Amino acid sequence: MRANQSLICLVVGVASAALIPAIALAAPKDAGAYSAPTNVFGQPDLEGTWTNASLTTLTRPAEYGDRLILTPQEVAKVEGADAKEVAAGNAPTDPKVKTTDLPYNCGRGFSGAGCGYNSAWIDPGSTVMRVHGQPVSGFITSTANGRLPPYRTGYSPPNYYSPAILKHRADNPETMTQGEQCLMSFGFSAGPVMLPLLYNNNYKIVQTRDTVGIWVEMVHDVRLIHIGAKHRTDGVRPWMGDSIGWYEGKTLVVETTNYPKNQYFLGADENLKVTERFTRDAPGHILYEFTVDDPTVWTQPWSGAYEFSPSKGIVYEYACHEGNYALADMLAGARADDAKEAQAAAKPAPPTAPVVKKN
Amino acid sequence: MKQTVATLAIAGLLGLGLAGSAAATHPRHHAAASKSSDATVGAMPRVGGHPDLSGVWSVMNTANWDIEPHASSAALQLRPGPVVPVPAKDVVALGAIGSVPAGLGVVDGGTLPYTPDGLKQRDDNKAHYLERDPEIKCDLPGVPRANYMALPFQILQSDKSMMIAYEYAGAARNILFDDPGPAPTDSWMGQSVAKWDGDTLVVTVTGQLDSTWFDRAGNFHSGDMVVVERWTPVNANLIHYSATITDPATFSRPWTMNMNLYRHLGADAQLQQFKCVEFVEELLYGKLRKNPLP
Repeated sequence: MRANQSLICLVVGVASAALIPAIALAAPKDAGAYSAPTNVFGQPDLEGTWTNASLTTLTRPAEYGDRLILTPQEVAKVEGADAKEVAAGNAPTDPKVKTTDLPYNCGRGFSGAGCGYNSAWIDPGSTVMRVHGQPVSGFITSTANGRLPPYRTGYSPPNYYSPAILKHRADNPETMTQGEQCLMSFGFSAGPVMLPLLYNNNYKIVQTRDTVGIWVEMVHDVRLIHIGAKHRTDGVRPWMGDSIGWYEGKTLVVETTNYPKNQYFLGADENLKVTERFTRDAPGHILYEFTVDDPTVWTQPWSGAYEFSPSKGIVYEYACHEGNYALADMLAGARADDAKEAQAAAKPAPPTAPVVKKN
Repeated sequence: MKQTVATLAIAGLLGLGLAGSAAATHPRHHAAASKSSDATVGAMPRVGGHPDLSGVWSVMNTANWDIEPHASSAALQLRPGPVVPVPAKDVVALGAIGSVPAGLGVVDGGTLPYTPDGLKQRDDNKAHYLERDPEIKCDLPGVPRANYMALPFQILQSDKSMMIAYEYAGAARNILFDDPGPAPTDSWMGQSVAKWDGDTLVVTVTGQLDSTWFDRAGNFHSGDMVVVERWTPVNANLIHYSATITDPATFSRPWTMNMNLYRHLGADAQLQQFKCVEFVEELLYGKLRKNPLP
């Protein structure tokens, strides 16, 4: 296979070979020449402050079909559209627009009250994810169309946005989303799988002899990966699961199980197993590969990859709960709606005109 | 060669002297440090030429209840009783669990040097403890309080970087060895800039909000507080910790707290989670339920 054709290596095989993606991104041409740094403990050196900010999403948009790699024109379109949105969001707000004019479009799909999250707040990145220098259409590589594999027969994914659930969402604080409660990020920032979201896609990694710590900016969660340890068997299911790790050459492998019931990931929870591989295979990057396995949910394991890049700043504190006025306000708003409904129900029906009988 | 040996010896004496002077201001800690300098316990491991403080640590004191010397008492918040003060109504049901264990205190000299206004505020905080202690609401604890809560913390240190993960509230600190300049904004845990002074890790913490407290006794600070921590390894399993507080808006002079940090060993050396945000939802939002509990 010629070098310029090896950028996409189609691996025809059984997708259930958990760590082998069906569509593998070939290593860069100079991979053999790159010597991954090692730290003072002789481990592959992953330390630093990293970001996975990206316009690319976990699943591939249908418009790209079976293509993992985007064309230069497609990249320009995606990144150009984002730049346009940012410019529009940064433009001075029309002083004539008042809150009474809501909803109006404030960009990036936000409107009305959602305009609180305008361009000043969000920072999802401005570029398409590159893996080995190649712009990818999504992170999932194990399926031809870059989508999730089929659900297991008989499995019905919970619909957290069904009208029935939404109707009672603000009945109690516990029924609000975990992001709204400031329990975990609103996406799956800490994971695992660690995935980028609207803002604060920053991670600090520190390695000791027996532990790897990953500080996830959202929501100041620190993942502790126990090197050489065994999974806990005491029935305790910590947030972010129970992560153990080991080193394979220049790769840190992390296996996470024991997820809690309420930290569901695309429908999976307690039976979920995620395997992550962190590899310094090129200067200034960490190749992040992941395999997701839950035979109670999907018909087969599925895999994907993206790259962490150096973050330009440090990780700052994300004190979500301490400033969480929104949760109280949303609950109070729901109670105000309840009161209105009760008032309307209690109001006597308007009198109807007497029926005049014709003789 | 002889000169080198002599220099090392002098440095060693100086080092002992410095450690001694830090502890001598508080005899209780001096005694604790001496006792734990057991010859059977080796020195702290090293990484990158410095002591490797990595591991799970916690105090064995009651400073989180009150950093000043205090007798045990019936509750964190009291009300007048017919004979003696009794627990406030909201904590009566906790019985002995809600009472306060005694403590020797960790403040040099015993008493905090409040300004007159500061002392009034502290006493008022104590009287309204249940409404005001940020720990009750599971707010981030700030520094130094994070280090002497009842829950342990884990130091992660390499030759290049360091962070501290706290069990309480999942709090975390980024220990920076390159000073980025003034903190861009105030935060709950502040900005920690570190340097090594021999084998002592010196961390200067600035940019903390005025919303955190020192303990459950209403002891507080302003947003101008500067904390200088000194983490001095005594042996592989013991760190002498001190924190000097400078906050002219609250205190008439800088003051220092001293205490020991003990390493968790074996199976105990595993940080658990105490994400208490979900535990305080009834307290903070219970009245906003569709059907509030009676």
